[in-house]
Amino acid sequence: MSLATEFDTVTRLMQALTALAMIVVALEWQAMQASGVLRDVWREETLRGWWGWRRLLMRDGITRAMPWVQTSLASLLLLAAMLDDRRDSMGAMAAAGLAVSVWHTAVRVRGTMNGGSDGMLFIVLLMLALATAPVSTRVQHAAVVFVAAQVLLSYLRAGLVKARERDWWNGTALSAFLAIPAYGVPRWIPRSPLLLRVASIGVIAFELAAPIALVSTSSALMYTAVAWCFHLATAVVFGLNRFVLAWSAALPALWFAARLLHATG
Amino acid sequence: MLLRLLFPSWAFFDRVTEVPRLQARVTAHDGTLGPWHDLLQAPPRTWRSVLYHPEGTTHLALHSAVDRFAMECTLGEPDATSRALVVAIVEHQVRARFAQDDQPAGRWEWRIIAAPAVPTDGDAVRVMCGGGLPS
Repeated sequence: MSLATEFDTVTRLMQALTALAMIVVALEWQAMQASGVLRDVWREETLRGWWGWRRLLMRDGITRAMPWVQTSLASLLLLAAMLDDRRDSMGAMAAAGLAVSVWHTAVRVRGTMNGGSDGMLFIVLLMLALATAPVSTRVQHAAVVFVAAQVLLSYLRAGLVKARERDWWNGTALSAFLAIPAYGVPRWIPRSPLLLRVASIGVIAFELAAPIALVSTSSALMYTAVAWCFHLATAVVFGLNRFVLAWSAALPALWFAARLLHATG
Repeated sequence: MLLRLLFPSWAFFDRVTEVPRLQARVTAHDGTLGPWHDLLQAPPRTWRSVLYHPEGTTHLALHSAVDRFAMECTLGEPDATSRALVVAIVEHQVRARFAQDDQPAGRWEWRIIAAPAVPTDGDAVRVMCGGGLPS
């Protein structure tokens, strides 16, 4: 398969997974608005000063319409991933629009909704817009490589900060995180000290091993499979559902980065 | 905000430190002090929550606002907008959780305490910040 065909396949996969992630984001945003918490907590009169010039974009009507806008754009992105003819810029515009919507939500609530997953979704959307826009092949490839770099950085940085902490090596840190009430970790999750120690070392090893994904396309695939299981486990244990969605959309970029590295020698 | 989204810190679950907890209690008109209640409790989860969990996402967003204000209090630079958001969270949670209860009418107080992730007997509660709800 040629590099161009592989790039096309990877970006289509990323488009489809990002579209599904954004549909979930839209549904959650809709549910949050319906519950009244947005109106009660993130009040316009409280945030108007902080918004500054952005307040024009934070009007109630725009916020209320956002889930519908996101669902429509995500549907277009999904369609773009499935269309044979990719000459138009529908996918690029849909991705760019969705990136703006992620930014809008972050400004509306003065922060991220779901930690780093919002950042990863924003990065994937913005880079997908660039990767599928009518720009040079080099820029398109660079956009996907940027996503891969952020994925690698996300694991490496997280691994390095854990590796520096003695409590992470002996399982105490993981035990403490499991006990934090905010995460509501299910009671059935086993917490034996030995298991937590093994799991902790496993997490550090997995995160620090991220560069292995670049050794070959096979290692990228294997690392992606382990990474996906890791995010699934995080969702089950800590309830961080959006991390599965955001990283699922980003992980195919690792494969392409490994492929590109080999193609260029 | 744009830069924070484009270049996140990626330092997940690095260090176990004290966990900020938002609490509230009522002071009845006769001066009786009620017990402190934790206001932000993780919503229950089902298998569906692995992919779709609006209650959990809302919970995390509320927690982020509380964590941010707690951090500002620790640094001695509490921001007025952050404080207003926390007060709004308290009002929302108190209304949602105690509306049906037989709570005595009175003045609500709130505080953010720094609690160890794994509480043990004899832990001293460190109050990071607090206040009353406007009546």
